[in-house]
Amino acid sequence: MKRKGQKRRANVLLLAMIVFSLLLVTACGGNSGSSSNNNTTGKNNTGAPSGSGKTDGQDNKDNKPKVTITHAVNGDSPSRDAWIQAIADAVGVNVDIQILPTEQFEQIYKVKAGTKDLPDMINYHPGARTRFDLQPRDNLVDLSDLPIANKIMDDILPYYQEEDGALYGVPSQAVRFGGIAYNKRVFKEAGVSVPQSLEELLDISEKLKAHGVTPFYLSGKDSWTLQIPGLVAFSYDQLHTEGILNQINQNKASFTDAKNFIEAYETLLVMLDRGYINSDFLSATYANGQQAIAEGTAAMYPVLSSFYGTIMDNYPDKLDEMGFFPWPVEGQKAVTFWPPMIYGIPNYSKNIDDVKKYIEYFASDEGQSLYFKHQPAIGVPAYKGIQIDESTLLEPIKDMIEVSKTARQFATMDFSVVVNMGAFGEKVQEVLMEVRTPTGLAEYLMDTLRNNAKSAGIAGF
Amino acid sequence: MHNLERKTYSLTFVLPWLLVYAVFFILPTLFGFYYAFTDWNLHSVRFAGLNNFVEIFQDPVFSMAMKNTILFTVVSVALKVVVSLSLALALHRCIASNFFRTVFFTPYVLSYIAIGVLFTAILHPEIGLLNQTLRAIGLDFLAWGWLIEKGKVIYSLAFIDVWRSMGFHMAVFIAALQTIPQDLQEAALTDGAGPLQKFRHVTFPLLASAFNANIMFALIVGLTKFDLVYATTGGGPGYFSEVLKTMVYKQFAMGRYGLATAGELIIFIVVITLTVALRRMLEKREVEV
Repeated sequence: MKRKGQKRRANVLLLAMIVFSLLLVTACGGNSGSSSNNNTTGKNNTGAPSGSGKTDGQDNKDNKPKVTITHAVNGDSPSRDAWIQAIADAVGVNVDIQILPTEQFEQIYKVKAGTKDLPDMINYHPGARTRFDLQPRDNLVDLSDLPIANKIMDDILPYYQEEDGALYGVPSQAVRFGGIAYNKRVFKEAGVSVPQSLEELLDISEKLKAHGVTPFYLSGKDSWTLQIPGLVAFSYDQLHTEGILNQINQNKASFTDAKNFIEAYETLLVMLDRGYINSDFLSATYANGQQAIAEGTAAMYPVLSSFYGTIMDNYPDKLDEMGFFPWPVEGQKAVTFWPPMIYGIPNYSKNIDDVKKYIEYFASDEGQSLYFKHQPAIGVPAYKGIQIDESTLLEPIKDMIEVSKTARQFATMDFSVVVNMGAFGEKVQEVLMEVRTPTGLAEYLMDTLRNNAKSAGIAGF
Repeated sequence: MHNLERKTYSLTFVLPWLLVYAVFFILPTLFGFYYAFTDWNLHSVRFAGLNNFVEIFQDPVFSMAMKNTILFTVVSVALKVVVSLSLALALHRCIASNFFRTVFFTPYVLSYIAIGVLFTAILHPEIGLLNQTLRAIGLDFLAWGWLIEKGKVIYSLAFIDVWRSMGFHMAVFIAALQTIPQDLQEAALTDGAGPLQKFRHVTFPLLASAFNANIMFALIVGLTKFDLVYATTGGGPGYFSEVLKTMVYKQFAMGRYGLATAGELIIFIVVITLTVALRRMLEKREVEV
């Protein structure tokens, strides 16, 4: 009898705890609008549904509820979140930032486009990637009527504007460059200067090695970083062989004709053979590369200029020791730029007007000033007429501006080919392991391009 | 007295579940078969005949992925069965057996992503714990590039998989050991059988069903391994640890959904063929107590 009574009391206690928990959860879950009043951006990596039309908080000026714009971005970056928040504050909207893992960023966007679940504000690769992956004619709003459409820099405009003048995306960042990040302090201590040719690159590497640092850093575990030398060297192929990319896109030439592309990887093999490259190049990561250059244990590292944004996040006091130079080939210089990712709006978003306001403000003088205040070293403006205070410029950006004044500029080949070739970092790993030649890598790229173009039904393949 | 009559449940009880199964499993699978013969990019579908299969079979990465998948499966199945059987026999009636069972089972509850990150750090050629330890005890010649040397990486991955799963297979063997009647063991002892003879003629035959279940499970896991490889090496360096599933993943990533679905269909056929053949072979030696 006693045991039965105890059991009943335990059941009552359990029931009371469940009811109490339910009340607690209900109380915490309610009135979320007011609880988020103080935050204009909310980070979310679970992928909330798009076009929610959610309204949170109250605008102080006209007492209208603040609209929440959903926005899916590639990877985590505190400095990026800071400028998004600054723009959102200025426009008077909330931005719900959904962080997508870098490795799956493209797949997730493609699936969201296919299932009409894109966020209110899209952030995706420009050019052919948007055209093939997001099907903009069916899915995105034409932004050509926005006044900022005329402000996009002429060099990068073809990556945003369709042949019929439609504009399904506008630049969402600075124009980034590809090249070599280097530690100026280490260069100075070793008594070497920026190389102007591949021979000079080998010469200074020898001196840097003698100085006791790793001359050239490669981070093969993050295999995408191994693509950079080839992509930046290909600009010299475009410089020396006019129209080579168009011919490749028409299946009339091949990557095996891209001598500078092939020579870039041959040079890496020589550097590897002479001990100029870190011995753990196949297991080193991008984060290891940042650390090595920032701390000066390595002198050079092939990167995109977004590298300096991550340096600013992780090693802010080292940013002024950093420098930038393009891939060194003798004679006139060529530099590779990466057209910024797009801001786009799905045509089924419930917040089209608010996203347009955000985008217009971002591209305005004030918005760009805010952006460059938070991202002072990532690249150069994508919009015309943006004045940057040169006295506040950091070392890498000064180098990039200097390079952009003299070098011929070409957009990265992987955004300019007729169809997505996929990543080729693993093939570069094979080259560095000497199981594939640099020419074999070029052959592989062309085979992949042909297969993918044929599959996409592109004429000439 | 009731009339004894064999009754079966009405089919209508099963119908809702059959419907769910058909909609969420059979139909998508059949759609998958169809898409394997198309150029499909999520927005449009174009019939492509056998082109996807021709492209896959002509791709050298496929033969490498197939070779690696087979190597991984054979090594991991063999080691999982041998190691987990040894552990089960050792822990069946040992002191503090519950404690040790928990210790060996613990890795099984860790996610492959966490294990991948963990072993990437442990097996780093320069700063990894394993190579640092080997160097510290004077075994420098064994401080290999476990995850970056082309001839070693797939074996390293198989060892990681065995480490993670041996606790699960051990639990299956222990459960089976506990069902072996004590009188059979005692009878063997009375007949003068030594420990080895007892194992060979009594224990091992009666473990056949658990043995077969473990082999089948390890085989299917091995042939369809993705998460561990993706998290630890991503199929690299180069394609030296590429397996069929990571190859298919990269085809999806490139936007070649038709091609990737064809790859999935090939994996499906390989897994079904091997498991059915092996099942038929193994079930002949099962013994009922």
